[in-house]
Amino acid sequence: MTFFSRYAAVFFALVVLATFLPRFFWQAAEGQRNRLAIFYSSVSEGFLIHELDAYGQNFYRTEEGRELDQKDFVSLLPFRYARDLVRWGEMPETIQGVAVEPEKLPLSVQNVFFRPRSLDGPEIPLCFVMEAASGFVDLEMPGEVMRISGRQAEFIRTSDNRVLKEKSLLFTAAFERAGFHFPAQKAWARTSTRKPFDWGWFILDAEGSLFHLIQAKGQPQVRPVLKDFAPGIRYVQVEEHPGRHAYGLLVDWKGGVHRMNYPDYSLTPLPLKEFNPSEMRLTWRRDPLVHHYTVEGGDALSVTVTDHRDAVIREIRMDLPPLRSESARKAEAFFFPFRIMQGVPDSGYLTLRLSWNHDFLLARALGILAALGSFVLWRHWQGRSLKESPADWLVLGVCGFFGLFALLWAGHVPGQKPVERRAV
Amino acid sequence: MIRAFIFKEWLKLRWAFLGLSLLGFSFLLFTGHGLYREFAAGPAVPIWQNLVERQVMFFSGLKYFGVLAGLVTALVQWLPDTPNRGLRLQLHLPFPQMQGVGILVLCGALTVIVVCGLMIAALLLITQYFFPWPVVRSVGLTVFPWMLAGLPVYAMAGAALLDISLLRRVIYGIIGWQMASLYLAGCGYAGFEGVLGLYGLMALLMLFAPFISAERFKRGTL
Amino acid sequence: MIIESFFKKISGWVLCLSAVLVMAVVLPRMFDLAFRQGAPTPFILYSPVKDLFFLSGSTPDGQRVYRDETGRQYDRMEFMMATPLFWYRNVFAWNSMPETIQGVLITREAVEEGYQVFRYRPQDLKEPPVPLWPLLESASEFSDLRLPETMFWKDGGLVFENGLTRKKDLEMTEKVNNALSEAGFSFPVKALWGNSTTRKPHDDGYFIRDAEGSLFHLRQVRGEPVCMDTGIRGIGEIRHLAVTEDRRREFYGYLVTDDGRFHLLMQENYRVESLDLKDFDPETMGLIFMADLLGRTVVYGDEEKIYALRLGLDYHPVHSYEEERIQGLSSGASRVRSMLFPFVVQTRAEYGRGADLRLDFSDHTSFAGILFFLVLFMVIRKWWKGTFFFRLHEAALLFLFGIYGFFVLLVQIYPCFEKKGQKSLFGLR
Repeated sequence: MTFFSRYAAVFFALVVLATFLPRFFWQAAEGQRNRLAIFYSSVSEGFLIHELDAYGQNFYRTEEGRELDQKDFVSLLPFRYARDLVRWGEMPETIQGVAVEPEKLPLSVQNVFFRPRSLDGPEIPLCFVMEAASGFVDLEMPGEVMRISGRQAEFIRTSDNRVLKEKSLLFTAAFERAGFHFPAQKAWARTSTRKPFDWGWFILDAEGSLFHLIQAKGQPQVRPVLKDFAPGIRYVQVEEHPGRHAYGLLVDWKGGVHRMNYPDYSLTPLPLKEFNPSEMRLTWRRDPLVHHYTVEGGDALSVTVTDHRDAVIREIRMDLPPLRSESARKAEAFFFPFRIMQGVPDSGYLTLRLSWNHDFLLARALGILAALGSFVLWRHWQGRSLKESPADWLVLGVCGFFGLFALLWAGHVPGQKPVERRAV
Repeated sequence: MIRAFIFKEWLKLRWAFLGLSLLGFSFLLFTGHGLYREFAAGPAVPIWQNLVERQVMFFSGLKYFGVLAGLVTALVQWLPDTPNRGLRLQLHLPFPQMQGVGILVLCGALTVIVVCGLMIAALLLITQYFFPWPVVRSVGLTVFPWMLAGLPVYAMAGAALLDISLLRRVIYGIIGWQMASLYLAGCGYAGFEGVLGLYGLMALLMLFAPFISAERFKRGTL
Repeated sequence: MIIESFFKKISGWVLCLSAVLVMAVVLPRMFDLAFRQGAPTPFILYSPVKDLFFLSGSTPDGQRVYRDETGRQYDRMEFMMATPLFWYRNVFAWNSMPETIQGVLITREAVEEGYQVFRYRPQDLKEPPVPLWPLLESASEFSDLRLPETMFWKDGGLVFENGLTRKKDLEMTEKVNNALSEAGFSFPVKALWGNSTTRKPHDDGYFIRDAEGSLFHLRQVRGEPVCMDTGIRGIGEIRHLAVTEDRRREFYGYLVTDDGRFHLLMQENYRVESLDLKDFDPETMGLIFMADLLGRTVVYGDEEKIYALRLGLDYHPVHSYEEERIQGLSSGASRVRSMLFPFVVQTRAEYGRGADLRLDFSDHTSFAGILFFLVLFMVIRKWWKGTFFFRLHEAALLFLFGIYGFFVLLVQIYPCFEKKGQKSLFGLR
């Protein structure tokens, strides 16, 4: 019994140590870097870089490294800083032959941000289906929620938890007519009333087909969007923008990102290289002349600019100084052969995921040897036999310093030595 | 005799004191390090401004520390003596019992006060390193009632542990819980500014609660 | 022995009073939760089309009601059409904006430019919980406001602390305090008002009240502090000022003086436009100010009454309306409440923000409740001990605390060590 309770304690200590020590280590050892943003100027047809350092100072320069002052920088980005240019009366009338209408810019300028965390996360499987054609400009949260369970769509009134039979039947019938296979796997929408209009829900059915649901004047409109999409649909980010250029972004299971165009739901794959949606952040900026895709992650910042026919105009890639220096990573390998992650970047869930360190074999081996050596010394100092509790050596061999700390904390098996031998 | 009482209490309470201080200080270390990194990453004014505008509480993890301190202290102090009526021995010593109980309560309350006081002092020290004076003041005024909540919790937990009737124990528990929730009501930064003295007085008065339970305990048949 | 019995006495009273306190906080809250009918404040708009006030409210069961001040009911669309300058986005979307209202040509730009709303709540009277402000640049070339390197607080003068060095910025402190003295400011700073956020269309700086009660205006213009004496005199002591910073730039904001009057602080020459608001009490009443193309509407009120006032563009009253509000509790429920609870302990500040500890006594009907519980206690006592006799402290508890005292006695939190006492109702001694 003491054998098991001791190793239970060791195991508990290992989990706690492997969760928190690497986190504290990186909290202390991770470096800082300046905030950097890259923009494409249609005026100068080149990239502009904005850097903010730790003292709050702003630096503006061109891709060739020429320093700019803030005013030049702002003038070169007329769509982004339209308010300033209009105030100064310096808004150009045409850019690259296209007439600029400042009052219409809110319709043609759109910024969409994608974060890995939004791919997955805890959500209640209840959909607020808003009224998209109420006739009033302001959207309102509905008084009932939809649940797609088993073989039907159910509407539940929030005030008294009653199922609304008629509405449920109406919507279930609409889903069936559109060829929807119950139950739903996933549903995506932007559940907010602070948007210009409502595009309802994109719902993935049991067979992996995507459907679009809008409620207009109390009536359901269900449209099939995508069938037999080979890479599989991982995530849809719905973006209601007054310009109605695209329904939003669609991320597939192979790491590809697509723009879902309005109104025919056609998909345009974004021209991104080395983009991993599980780890990197994506910003899509649209202005009257170009699309502008920024990928940030993996110690690099890359920007691809395309025209409105999706032909690539320019690309740029900047390596950023790594946040984790090589020596720090070696030290990590030396001390921590693995770590337990409580959160992962592409999910909002809390997990306990074991991840082994695969870099720096030598450092890892040395770390485990050092842990073993320290344990030998400790046993020696305590006057204990090295043969006592042989399973300890296994723990040390696998877990390195975590094992050492856990064993030191758990201490020796209480009692006399012969008892211990029998226990093992 | 008094010295012996105090020594006996100290033997019990030192672990509670040590454990609570360790917990609190490790939390503060963590908070302090988080602040250090945040301030190293960029200029300070946006962080100050964020705190002022959104009333972010970087120290909100300390909210239940006072309650925890009160509860732990009461448990550590009274639990070893109550089940097999060890305390009755002391209540029958040739020493005025109520004064004896008074010494016990004083020891426990001092433990809570010192631990919480240390936390406040350390937190203010950290805060004044990173923030200007008005923030330090507001942080102090925010944390103080949270820590004060420890005293009613300590007193009512003590009364509940000592009392002999189950019904009264439950009632004391409810009173302690509701009293604590008065102190922990989310009032934002410095919400208790004008009434801190009144609430403090109330917390100190609450310390008299365990005496009557001790009297019942002494007479106690269930 | 005196100390001994003193300890026991005080301990008993502390327990008993804390039980009363907790009940006086919790029981009324539970009562309100059970019986309060949620009738939110009606929303009042002035209709320049019909020259009437229009109200949008809801019945206790959540049904929305749109009506005008004469009581005639409308549907939502008619309501919005009657107040088109407020709902202009909807009305323009339906293409049903009249071409002229009161002879004024209506265009979308004009309506948008003429529109401004701000609110006042009694808790605004309190000083902000963390009194720390940045002195933003008011005359920046760029429209995005940026935070400076320093923030300041008031300590006699204004003290600036630099965010980079995290030390007092003596140079800035001296510069600003010099600017104040040059404008004729007499230290110390008594009060200071302004918006510290950068999320506003422009910056109008801060207004400062000096030791003599004069109001000064401090801004940062191209990196230099600029202080102006507003010259406002003779409106009484300024209790509160709010800077509204709206695109319209008609006024800097509003101020409340200690006689309870409400004024607008205009941008031209710091002129003060005093509004004549009947029965306005800044301590208890909230206020909404709405500007539109054709005039101004001020709506204010508290739980009991709500007032609406329409002013022309020159701030002369055009139309007014007042209405009694349906109370949160029905009259029966509120009578039962005051009978049940002789007093209620409030732990939240009533109109301000933050905590409080205050007794709210009920009216004389609470004596009926006290009497009822006295009799009830006597009946129980008779049934359980066979006598009506009770002690002085029991009488005191019942008389002072009514229902709370009754409960305290019922579960015998108050100690009564009677050697020969029988077992009580709950098996307690």
